[in-house]
Amino acid sequence: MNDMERRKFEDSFKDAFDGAEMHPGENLWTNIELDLEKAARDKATKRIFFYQMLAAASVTFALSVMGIGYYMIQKDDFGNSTELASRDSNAPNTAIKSDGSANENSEVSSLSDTNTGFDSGSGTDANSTNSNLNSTLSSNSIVTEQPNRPRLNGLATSEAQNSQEKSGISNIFHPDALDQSGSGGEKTSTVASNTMVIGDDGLTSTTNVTSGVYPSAGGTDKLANSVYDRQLPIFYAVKQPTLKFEESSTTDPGMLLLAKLADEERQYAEKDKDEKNNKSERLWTSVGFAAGGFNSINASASPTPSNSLAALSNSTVPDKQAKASGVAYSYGVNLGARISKRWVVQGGVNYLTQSSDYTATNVVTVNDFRTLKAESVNDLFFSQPQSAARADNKLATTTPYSVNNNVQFFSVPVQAGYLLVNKKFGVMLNGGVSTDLFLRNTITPESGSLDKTTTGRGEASPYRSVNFSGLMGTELSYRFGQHYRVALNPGVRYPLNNVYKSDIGIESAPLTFDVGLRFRYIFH
Amino acid sequence: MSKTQNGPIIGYMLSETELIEGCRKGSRVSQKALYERYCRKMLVVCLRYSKTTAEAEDIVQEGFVKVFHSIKDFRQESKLETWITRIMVNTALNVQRKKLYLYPMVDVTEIVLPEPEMSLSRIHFTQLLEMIQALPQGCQIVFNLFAIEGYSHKEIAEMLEISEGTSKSQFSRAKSLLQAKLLKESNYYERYGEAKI
Repeated sequence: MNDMERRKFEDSFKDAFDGAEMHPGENLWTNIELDLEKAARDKATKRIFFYQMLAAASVTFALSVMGIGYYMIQKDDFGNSTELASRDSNAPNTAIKSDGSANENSEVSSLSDTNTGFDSGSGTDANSTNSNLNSTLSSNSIVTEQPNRPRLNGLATSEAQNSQEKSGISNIFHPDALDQSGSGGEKTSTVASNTMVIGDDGLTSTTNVTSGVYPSAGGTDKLANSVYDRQLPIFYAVKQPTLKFEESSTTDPGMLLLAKLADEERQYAEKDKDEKNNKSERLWTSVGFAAGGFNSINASASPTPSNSLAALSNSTVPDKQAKASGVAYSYGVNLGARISKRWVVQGGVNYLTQSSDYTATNVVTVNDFRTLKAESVNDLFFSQPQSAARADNKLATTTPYSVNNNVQFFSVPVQAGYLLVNKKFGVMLNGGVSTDLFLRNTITPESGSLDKTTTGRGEASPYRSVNFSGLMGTELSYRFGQHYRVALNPGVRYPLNNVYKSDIGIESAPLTFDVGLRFRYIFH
Repeated sequence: MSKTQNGPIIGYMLSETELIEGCRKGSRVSQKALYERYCRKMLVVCLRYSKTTAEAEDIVQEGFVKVFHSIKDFRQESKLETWITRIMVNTALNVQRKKLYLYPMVDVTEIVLPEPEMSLSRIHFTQLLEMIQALPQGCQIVFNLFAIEGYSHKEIAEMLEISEGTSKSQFSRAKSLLQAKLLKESNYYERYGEAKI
């Protein structure tokens, strides 16, 4: 069969159905309308979900930045403290090395500053004196190696050790304990880490550089002898100033000094820059625009007969209007000041508008059907003063039509901000409150035969004149030039009170997620 | 206030362009008016692709939701009715494709029958509709697409993801079945002088 040659048979079928019509079921349009409503709700939910995710991502980002910052600060502090701790902990455990003439039979005696067991000057008995003397030699302090040598003043190693054990000298180190005096022109040497090695060659020598022990010349035997001769507790009677020796290095000292100076210069430059940063951007003004969505999660409508029309029980509009989600826009001017390195205060004035749609199935008739108004809370509810004026308002059923409710506020926000990052790129966490003055709300029916109505603030309006909202958000900004900064502000606004008057019987506190764009001019 | 004051009356007064603009803005009144204007024709279109009225109404419902969502993209290069019909046909095909998957079309021998001599103008379209609905699934769709919508077998093959030969053979079978029924109707007409409705 040739596709191009549609024969009589096919054409006659086509003609038979041309213009053919059949009536669908009554519920078909209702089902379509329900599908459309559901799709609109899904769309709004997705949009709100998007803003929720955006706000959550912002907060997560801010917290992450804060966490990383905190971690970095802690890490620096921990690094410093670890360095100090390692120095302290290494000190007592300093490897004490002999001058190379190590002997298997080396004697180890210790020196300590504790008076415990120290027989000050009584030394009637040489053994006891030496014992006491040796007992004051802490193993953590001075290690004397005297291989195969008669012990000073005939003291045996075993005696010394026994004496030390008996004396119960604590190993607690005292910095002042390590004073060593050399006789005559001998150099006095004290180790920063309070350790030193006295070699058998009569020279005090230490080779452990890390411990800060440096070689020095001196006759320990002489020292001990002089002490013994004078019968004085040498480490207390003679106090010498402690000298600390810098770590030896093969680096050219001149170069080292230059490097140190350069480093200091850099540090000062950074400090100056920080101070300059802190002093700059202290006062600014900004203009901004924000767009987002709002959703009344916990809204409810429970009117009482005293504040509603008699036919109101048939109306679903109060519930729809109170729960309607929609879009929110705001624009305004703000002024900000930095009050400390990290804290900022911002305030301003904003014009805020919230627009939502709902479907109405009735019209409100006024003056015996002479005036028709869209079905809305404005004309269904009233405070007591309007009860007489609206007593003859009635509801009449009609085909479903869309109604737009546009609510406008004059908002005065005051916020405190914490600067997480204050560089060219800035991150700030904001929180505060806003005083929202209700201006008017406009009901705009989509149907061409109904006029839109606007109700200003006051007794005729179902909305409260003054509202308070909590604000929370993040500001991600970028500074360009000396005086300008552009900022992106995702945030949340939540009314702290019911936006409707309390005697209306409707509860609604729409949660708004919006993202603002602000241009900031920095005064100084 | 009567039910039609806000909806249908306004809708009938609106021109096609105004209807489109209203639907683009999401006006429920315009949407209702557009529905009222085309729902009856579209139901017939969908009935041709369905076995029951309920099934057809489901397709109409889904189709109109698509129309209202896609009307922003309608560039008015064709007539609105043609565009809506195309959406309805595509929606019907989407629904029927699932069934075609369950009952795949197979090639049948092409039977060339002589053209029936009786005129279809004597038969009411609902009767023709019943005949079409009584066709096997694959035959019904191919016949509709070829004979009434005017698609070529190549296009049908692409749309239904079948071979061109399958499309042709399905059409031949549909045609032979319809011709047989029409012949029966023709005999009845000759006997009683009027088509049975």
